[in-house]
Parts: sequence; C-alpha cells; structure tokens
Amino acid sequence: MPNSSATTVNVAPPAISIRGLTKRYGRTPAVDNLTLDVLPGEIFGFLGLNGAGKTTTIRILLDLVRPTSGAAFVLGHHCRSDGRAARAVIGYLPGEIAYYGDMTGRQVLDLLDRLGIERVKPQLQRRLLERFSLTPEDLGRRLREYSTGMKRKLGLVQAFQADPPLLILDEPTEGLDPLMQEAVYDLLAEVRGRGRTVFMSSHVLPEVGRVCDRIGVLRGGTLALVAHVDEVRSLAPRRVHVTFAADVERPHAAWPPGVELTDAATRRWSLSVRGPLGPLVHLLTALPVADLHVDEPRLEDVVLGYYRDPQAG
Amino acid sequence: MHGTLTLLRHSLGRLRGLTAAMTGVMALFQVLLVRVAATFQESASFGKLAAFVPPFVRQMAGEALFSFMSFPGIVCLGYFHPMIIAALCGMVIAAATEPAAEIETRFLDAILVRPVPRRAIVARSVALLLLLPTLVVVAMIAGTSAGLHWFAPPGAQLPGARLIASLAANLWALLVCIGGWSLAVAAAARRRGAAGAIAGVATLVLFLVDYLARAWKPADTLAWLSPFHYFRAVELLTGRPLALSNLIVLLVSGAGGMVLAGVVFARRDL
Repeated sequence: MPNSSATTVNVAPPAISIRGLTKRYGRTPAVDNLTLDVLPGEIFGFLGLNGAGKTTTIRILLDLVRPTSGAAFVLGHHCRSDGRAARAVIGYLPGEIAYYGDMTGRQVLDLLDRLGIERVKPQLQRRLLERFSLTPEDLGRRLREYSTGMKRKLGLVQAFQADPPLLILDEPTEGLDPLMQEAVYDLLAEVRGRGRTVFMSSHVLPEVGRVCDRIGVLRGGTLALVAHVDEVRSLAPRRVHVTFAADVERPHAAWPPGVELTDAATRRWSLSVRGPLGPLVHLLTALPVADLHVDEPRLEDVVLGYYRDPQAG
Repeated sequence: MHGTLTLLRHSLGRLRGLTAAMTGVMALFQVLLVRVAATFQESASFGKLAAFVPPFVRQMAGEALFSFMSFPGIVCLGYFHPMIIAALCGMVIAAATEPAAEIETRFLDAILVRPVPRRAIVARSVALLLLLPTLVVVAMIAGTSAGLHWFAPPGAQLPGARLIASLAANLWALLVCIGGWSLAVAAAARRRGAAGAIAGVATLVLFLVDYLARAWKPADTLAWLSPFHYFRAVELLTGRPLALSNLIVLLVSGAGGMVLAGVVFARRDL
C-alpha cells in the first residue's frame, strides 16, 4: 500500500547519464572523471576547444571507444554492456562524413536503414529529403561527386530518418549554407517539440546560444561549466554604447561597480556592464545623452573565457 | 544475424568485381591448361621433356618431377603453381583486411552506431573468407572439368575426380587458414595498408620457410609453423591420398585466427 502522506514525484531518468568517466591514452587523459546528465527533451550543447575531449566522450557513448573507468548510460542502457539497445535509440551525425565514395546516397540511406531494428518511415525520410533539398537525382549520384555540404545533408537525413529519441550531432551545420543552417535549426526545434533529446557539439557559439537549452563546456577533459544558456548569458557583461549631443569629459568620480569604460571618444563611449544598468543610467542623467544602445549579452563572451581559463566566471 | 547478412551482402557487392575476375580468370586458366596439356600429349612431348632433365635433378626431385611432367600434372598445375597461390593469397588478404579499411575510412563509425554488434563485423568477414575461396575453387574445378570435356585427347591418362577434389580441398583449407590469420591482423590494425603488408609479408615468410625446409634440413625444424607445410599438392599428384590431418591443421589454425580476430575486435577502441 502506498503511503498516502508521501508525495510521489515522477522524475524522468536522464537521456544521457555519464558517471565518473575517464579515458586515458597512455598517461594522457582525454576525458577525466566526467560526470554529466542530459535531461530528456532538452537540446544540450557540448562545447570545448579541439582536443578538449568532446569527440572521445561521444565515441564512448556510441561504444566506439571503451572508457578507462566510469560508465555512461543512454536512456537507461549501459553504453557498453547494453550497447546494442543504447544505439538503437540514437541517431548520430558524425563530424566527418565517411562513406565509400562509390556508394550512392540512396545506397547509404538504405544500408543504414537495414541495419536498424525498426525500418525507417518513408514519409519521414521523404520530408527530410525535401527539407534539405536532396532530390532523387542527388541520391542517385555517387558520394565522390557530393560536395561537403551535400554529404552533411545526407548525414543529417540518416541521423534523423529513424526518428530516434536521442540525437547525437557533431557539428550539425558545418559546411552548410545559411538556408540549410536555418533548416537544421527548424528541425531541431521541431524534434524538441516532439520530446526528442539532442546532444550536439558545435564551435559556432551564436548557433549554440540560439538552439540550445543548456550547455556544458569541456576543458582538458573535465567539465568547466554546465548551465542553462540564459544563466550563462546573464554572466556575460552587456555592451552599452552611449552617443552624446555635445563633447563630454570622462567623469572624475569612480565608475559604478561592474561598469567599465572600454572605449571613449569625445561624443561616444562604449562600456561593459556587469549587473544592473541602473547606476550607469543614473550617472548618465547628468550628461547630454543623444542615444543609448545596449547589445544583448553574448554567450561567447562567457564561453570563450571558460575556454581560456577554467576558473572564469 | 540480420546485421551480419546485411553487411555480407554489402561486402559481396563491393567485392563483386574482384570475385568475378578471380573466378573467371581461374576457370579460364584451367581450361587453357587442359588445352596446353593436350597439345603436349598429342605431340608426345612429356617423354621428351623428361629426357632433358639432368640425372642429378631427377635424383633430387624424385618421382614428383615425373608426376608433374604428365598430362594430369599439367592439368592440375593451377592448383599449386606459386604465382596462382600468391594471387589467391592476395585475394583473401584483401578480403580479410576489410575491417581495417572500414576503420581507416571511418565507415565503421556509421555502421556500428546502428544497433549492430561488433561481432557482426567479424562474422561478416569470416563468412566472406569461407565464401570467396569456395567460389574460386569451385570455378577452378568447373574450368578443369570443362577443359577435360572439350580438349582431353583420346587415350590420355586423365586426372581422377579424387585427385582434383583433394587438390581443391587442400588449396581451399590453405586459403581459409591464411584468411583467418590475416583477419586477426586486420582486427588489430587501424590501416588496411599496414594490415595487408603485415599479412602479405608474413605469408611470404611462411612460404619461404616451407620452401627452404624441403631442401635444407635446418629449416625443417620450423616448417611445421608454415601453413604451406600442410599443403602437399605434389604428394597428391604422385597418387598419395589427402591427409585429413593436414586439412584439420589448416582449418583449426584458420579458425584460431578468426576467433582471435573476434576477441581483439571486441576489446579495441575504434
């Protein structure tokens, strides 16, 4: 009998759960004691410089690389001991699309479809092909004739065509033109709307800021930051540009806390502001302000700091 | 199983050119060998050729030389000629090193991120390494039979079905053995070129060990290590029966290589 006074809380298990994951190549740690949860239905940006350990982590999730210690789970399936079940729920876009050059696009899609447990829904595949402007003629061509962008589009179709609950995407928009980038962003929003989880790595920080719910920054194989994108943005200084109607001098008094003058001309100042804007606005009321422009806080202003220094923020 | 069959079909599709070429060339070669043997037979050249052989060579080679210089000997030449053996070894090494090529090109990433167990990759290669030598050997038997049907001169002593079957079985087992160990090398390699080079050089060394052992006593102590030691084509030509132990050694050894390939491939990083 359940206890009537107890509150039952249904907490969905993480889509990805990584526990104390370490991978060493010789003495060099590629991933060092990494612990991370990715929640169901979120788009998680996995960030870091080249060599930070992103690809190694992704390859451990896919059971292509075996960890030195620790464990990783995908939708409750252990990535190694229950790897087949784990991979059955993953759609993967590799960073480097490597199929045999003499295969046609159609042959690649058919082969990867046949290797799945459930067959691809033709309607979904057709919609994806239309979304990424891949025509039947394109699919009939050999891959050696494909451009980088076309290979990436084919990779996206094969990753999404089984409508998997979890998508692991390595640089999903690399090599795509702006229209196709938009198509990817729309698709990501659509799959998130249907409750799918996306774990993506990207070097394009504005893209991450646009599509991701949360980010994790990896540095030297360890997690330097995990936070919601909005939280990260709130850590970023805002850039404020003030234009004056007349020449002004820099104030002799101290600047309000968190305010820093980054560029000063006689009729234009640029400032960096951490925290509330009120003290700066109060200071400006005494000056002949003609215009005031505040830039949105940028994700990259914080993330780049973490790339350089793990103690940042 | 489903994944293995899908991958096998894919690999056979990729190797269809090589397979068609090898089976076609080997069948045609056997047909032409019968034609050549028939020419020698009709011109009574076998006796003349034997007369040219110096006595010391006769003493060294023994009866094997004369079994080779006969109609059945020429007809069966394709089953043990070193160039043919080298070409067939090259074929099985090319097929066995496919996993290394798939790792090198990262094609395996695309395959193994699907719900396909790693053992399916090795099982596919094992099936391929049993199938390709079978196809080639069957094509050789078919070529021999067709050649004998079309060109065998009346009255010639034809090679018996038992002899041809024994040679084919011994050759098939040799190729399976070499394929098995080449697969073990490929399962541990990151590049097909490296895997192919190691397997190719090792095969050559093992051939030379057996070759030296036949004429040089000190090498005889190592001969048992060579799969070619268990390929006794000339003995079969002289009328001795196929030793089952030779077949067993080759097949067990090849199976050992395949099992090792499975173990190595299951544990490694890709």
